[in-house]
Amino acid sequence: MKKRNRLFILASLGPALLCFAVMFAYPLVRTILMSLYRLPSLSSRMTDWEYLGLQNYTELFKSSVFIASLKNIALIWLIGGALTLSIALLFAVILASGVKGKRFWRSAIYLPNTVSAVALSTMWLQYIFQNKFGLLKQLFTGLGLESLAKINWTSPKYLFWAMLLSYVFGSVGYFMLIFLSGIERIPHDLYECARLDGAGNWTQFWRITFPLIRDVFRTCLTLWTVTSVNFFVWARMFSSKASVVTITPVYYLYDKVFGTANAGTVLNVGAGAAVGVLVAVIVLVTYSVMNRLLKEEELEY
Amino acid sequence: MKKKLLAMMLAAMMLLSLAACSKGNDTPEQKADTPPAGTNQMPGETTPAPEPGGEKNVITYWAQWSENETQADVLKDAIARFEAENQDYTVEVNWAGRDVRDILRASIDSGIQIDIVEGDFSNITANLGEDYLMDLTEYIAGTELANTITEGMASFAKSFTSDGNSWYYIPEQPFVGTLFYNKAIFAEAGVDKLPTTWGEFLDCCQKIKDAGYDPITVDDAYQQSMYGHYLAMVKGVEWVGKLLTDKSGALWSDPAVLQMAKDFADLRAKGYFAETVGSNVFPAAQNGEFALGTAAMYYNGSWLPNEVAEITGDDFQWGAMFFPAPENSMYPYSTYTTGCQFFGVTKTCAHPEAAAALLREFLSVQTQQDLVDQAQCIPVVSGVTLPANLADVGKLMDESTDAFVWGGSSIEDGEIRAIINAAFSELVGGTISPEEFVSQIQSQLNG
Repeated sequence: MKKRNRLFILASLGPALLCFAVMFAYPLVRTILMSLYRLPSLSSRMTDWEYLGLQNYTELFKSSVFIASLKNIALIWLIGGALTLSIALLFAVILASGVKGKRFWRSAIYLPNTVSAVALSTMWLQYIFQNKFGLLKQLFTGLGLESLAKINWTSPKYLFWAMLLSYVFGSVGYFMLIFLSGIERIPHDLYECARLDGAGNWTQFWRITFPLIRDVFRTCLTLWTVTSVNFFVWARMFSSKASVVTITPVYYLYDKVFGTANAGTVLNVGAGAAVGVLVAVIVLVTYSVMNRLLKEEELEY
Repeated sequence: MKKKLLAMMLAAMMLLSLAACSKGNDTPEQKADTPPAGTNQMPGETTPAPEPGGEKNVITYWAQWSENETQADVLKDAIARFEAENQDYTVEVNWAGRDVRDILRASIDSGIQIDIVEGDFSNITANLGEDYLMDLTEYIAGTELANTITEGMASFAKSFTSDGNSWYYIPEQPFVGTLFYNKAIFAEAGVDKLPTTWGEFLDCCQKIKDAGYDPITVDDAYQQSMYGHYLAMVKGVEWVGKLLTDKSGALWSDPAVLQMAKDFADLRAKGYFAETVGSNVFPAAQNGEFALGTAAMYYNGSWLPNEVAEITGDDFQWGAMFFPAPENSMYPYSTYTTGCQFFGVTKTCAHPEAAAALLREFLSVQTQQDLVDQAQCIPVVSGVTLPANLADVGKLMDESTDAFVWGGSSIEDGEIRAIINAAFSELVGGTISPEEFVSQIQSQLNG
């Protein structure tokens, strides 16, 4: 009977295990292996691979462009994350407080998420940041703020921040919805009791809302980490050709594996795979650090 | 027990469905071949024709055009003509768009049957080359195409082959990289002679500036073509290739680099570059400055008139001129940069004669004239009339004495480009000096 049970379990788990092996385990193992070799193309046979050991990794950390991409991603994660999550949380709290036209505002704030990143970044680049007749130029000129109106938002000095600002705009709605669903789970009785005890909005937020959505916050932080580490489309849109100002690890990886220039770019698929492995390690490390800092607690309410 | 049995059956069904899915990627069976119209039957290659009403032989073509592009419309007509003449064949097209270049090699390696590939010359030659593509000499030599194809493009395509004389690559659409200009602005500014030297170019810019226009503009996407052109004029294509792959930074100490940086910084300092030039993310300068008529000159390829046709309308007076020769130029001013889109037929193609026949239809005078008229391309065969907005490009090609590869180099390192691109934007934006441009690149290259 025990043997039969094992067979049954194996047969039931079989398809899922097969899918996992084919779609996750195999690419993962192959990518790790590729990162230790020099190979002429992504689809080269293993017999054509040349073993390099950890050379691809050491070369990466000698590359100022790769280091620049890591710095860029750290800024996107830290500053972009702080802006996105705090604005999203603020909007969620306001919407949950019973503001008039809640459904309209919720849809309006979420709307940018329904537009493709390519279209959204084009709008920011070619209209809002446009240096001659763009929205910011006209707005600041109209307000008489000439020094702000003169800023070339897409010049190398400001391009990264312009990209980050527009990315935050495109991300707030998504996280707002997650926060909102978390806040709406909290029973209203708690707020009523707090109000009767004389707690103001600020106290209610810090003593009730924030502690009770801590698990939601942790989820949002994990999602933000994964999306920002894989930052690519916005970087590519904000620099037609790779530039140290906007490059990110995934853009760097793409350049190494496929090349983006007209001329025959020197490719290094092994280095691209090494970037992929490092990106995965960054996500895992960040995730485990966050898990330690924001310990999961079972909350019942 | 019944539940267990049901669960077992469900699991088995899932496994079977997975197995069934995996069959979808199998290479299609090769079908019987018949020589296409217009080809001489090769001895010993006779294969039975499909039965009347039976399945047709398939030619698979992965296009670098998207289906909604004008080029795709023209090629669809050419395919229809081919299929009408060769009723045993049908053409299956994957309108994959430009990014097809990234997946061609991996797709072929994974066993997907692709007969005809298409892409920029550098990608087709570097990513596929003779390892993947078939020598089509026996299907091209002696045909009408061999006589109509322009001599320059025939030798350009053959120059990428190991023996320098085979037809592994079929040139499709040549392009010319040079300075495009607005003739109306030039006339208004009183520029009656096109500049040939850098000094004359500065005088020309001054006249245009005095007339109230920005003399020249550029986008981030085309900066590298412009400074690459300049450097190749002074130091040659091979040297530029070394510069763009030199991670030590040593070659950046060459006086030619500083000379280039000084000349472009001078354009900025004298107000000849548009104010926004250091911050133009493509297509800001192309669409918002040159096509709208606020800037007089823009460095680009011969596809430009087609790309901005909806903005310029029919009244725009298109001009194209040679890039002015810098001081110490190795090349005469009558030099342009060039490149070409290439076709190739893969070694796994079961019907090379038919594939070559289809390519001949793509390169027929009729198809090429349609491409010129509808998509404003430069033809690869003679006997095609250019539209008015490309007339100057045609003239320039006739008058040219030299040409080298688009961007001034056929090789580069993406990392080095990423460093130069940011520094060049700062240089033409006026935020760093020519000396800082050189030292910034060298310090970043050295980590």
